[in-house]
Amino acid sequence: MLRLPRPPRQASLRAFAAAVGLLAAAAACVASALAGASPVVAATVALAAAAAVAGPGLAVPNSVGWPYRAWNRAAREYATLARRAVVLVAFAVVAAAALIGSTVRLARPADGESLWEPRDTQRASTYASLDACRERPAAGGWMAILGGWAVSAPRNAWTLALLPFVLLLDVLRTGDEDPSPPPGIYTLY
Amino acid sequence: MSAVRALARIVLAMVAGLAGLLVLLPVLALGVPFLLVGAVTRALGPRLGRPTPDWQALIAFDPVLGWRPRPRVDGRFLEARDGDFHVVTDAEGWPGRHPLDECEVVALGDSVAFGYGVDAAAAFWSRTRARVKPAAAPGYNMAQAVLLLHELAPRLRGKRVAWFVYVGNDLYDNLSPEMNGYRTPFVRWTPDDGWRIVTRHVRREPWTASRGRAGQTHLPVLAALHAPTALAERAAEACRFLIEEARAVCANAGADLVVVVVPSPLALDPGGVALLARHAEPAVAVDPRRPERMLRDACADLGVGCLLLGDHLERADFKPHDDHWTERGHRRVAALIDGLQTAPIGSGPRGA
Repeated sequence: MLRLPRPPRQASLRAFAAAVGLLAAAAACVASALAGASPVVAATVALAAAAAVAGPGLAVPNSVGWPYRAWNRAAREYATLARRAVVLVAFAVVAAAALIGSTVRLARPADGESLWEPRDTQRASTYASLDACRERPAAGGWMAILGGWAVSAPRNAWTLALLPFVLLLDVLRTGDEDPSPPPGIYTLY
Repeated sequence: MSAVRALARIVLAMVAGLAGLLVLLPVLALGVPFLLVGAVTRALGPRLGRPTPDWQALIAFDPVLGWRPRPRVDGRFLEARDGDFHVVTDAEGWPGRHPLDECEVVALGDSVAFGYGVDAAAAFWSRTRARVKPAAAPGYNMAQAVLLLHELAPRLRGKRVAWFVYVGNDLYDNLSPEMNGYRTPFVRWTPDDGWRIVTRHVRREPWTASRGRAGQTHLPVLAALHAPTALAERAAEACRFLIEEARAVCANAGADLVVVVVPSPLALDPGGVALLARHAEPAVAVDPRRPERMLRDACADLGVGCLLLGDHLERADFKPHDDHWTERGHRRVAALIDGLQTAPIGSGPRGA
């Protein structure tokens, strides 16, 4: 969501110029208001800033090719760092929840004791729900599935605290996370 | 687990989560401009221009050449690694609006001669003082160029043919029956016939019998062509045969042939040379100018003019993530093509 469309088509370059123009207008408006300017002056300054920033890119899209790529690089770097920070905090939340203790037996067993457990047959509804997930995505997507699982049993409920972090990781995706090579990695020359 | 423990875990996790979000707040605030600009760009993009088709929309099947550009195109096409660019083709499918019969120079070859990757107005053939007409298509190898030369021969009298040969893929593609799944004319040597151009396999159906240099094979193949290897020797023999064929066609047509050798951008950059060396067989020395010298020597032996663009271009004249020229590269090539025209027909730079 943070990255701009790649590769940059002419329409994307124009849209980028307009978007940065809007951002410049908002910044100019806020700065003018903070400086005590009247609404008319603030609006004029905002319009001028928008025109100055967006104008060249709207008229000659290729002129914002370099800023477009630079913005995309900056967005990617930011997203990478921000994802690391979010993952770090999410692990801290898990660690905090684990302070209460765990039902999973983690200690090494005593001599002659085994950690193997007999495999029980799963309820038929388990398989039905798996098929339903694959064939008919639940309304609300993965958030609804995760939320539904969290409220299905009291012992799962604490995972609701992780939902905002998973959501942030989704927002901070850059599209570079998939290590598989892109199809058709060279074109006609 | 008791209900009390579950409740305690929930409370602890919620408190930790809220604290974590507060800690992340400054980090997340930094991302707001990226989020806003990304969202507005995605929302406005489709409203500010028509969808751009991929380059495949540029070409149509041809039973002899494998493919050729579609005629009367005037629109933008997408280069997947760089962006879109404006393409104009004439009634025959060749780039530019001027007809071939009115030109002084025919730019024969592949995508570099086509002007692939830059707007038509910025391509070298739009910037020359001489009237230059490309007869080229993305992906053509040298065998396809020779077949095209045969087709155009009756219209070449008194013209100079500048044949753009791209070291980065032509040398291998000359020997391959396919290019990225497209069936292509190629050259093959047999004891009975020697070197011959083969076209009988050219059909619409994708080639599936081999994968050529696609994907992971591309760099090892390119490295082998820049070193004293059996592949490089075979490629050199094939090039010599094709240049000899082109020379004969041009001589019969009353045209002057100049081979314009385009180096791989990897050969113009120490980092690129090191990359090639990493993909070469052990104990094989990579020489970045070897293919250019091979083509120059072949041209000199055959009495054909030769211009090595490696003597004139820099890495910055090529796009960073693509083997095609930047607008600056096109300007430089335009000046060089105009320089060629100061020599009269029949006196091109002999192995210069």
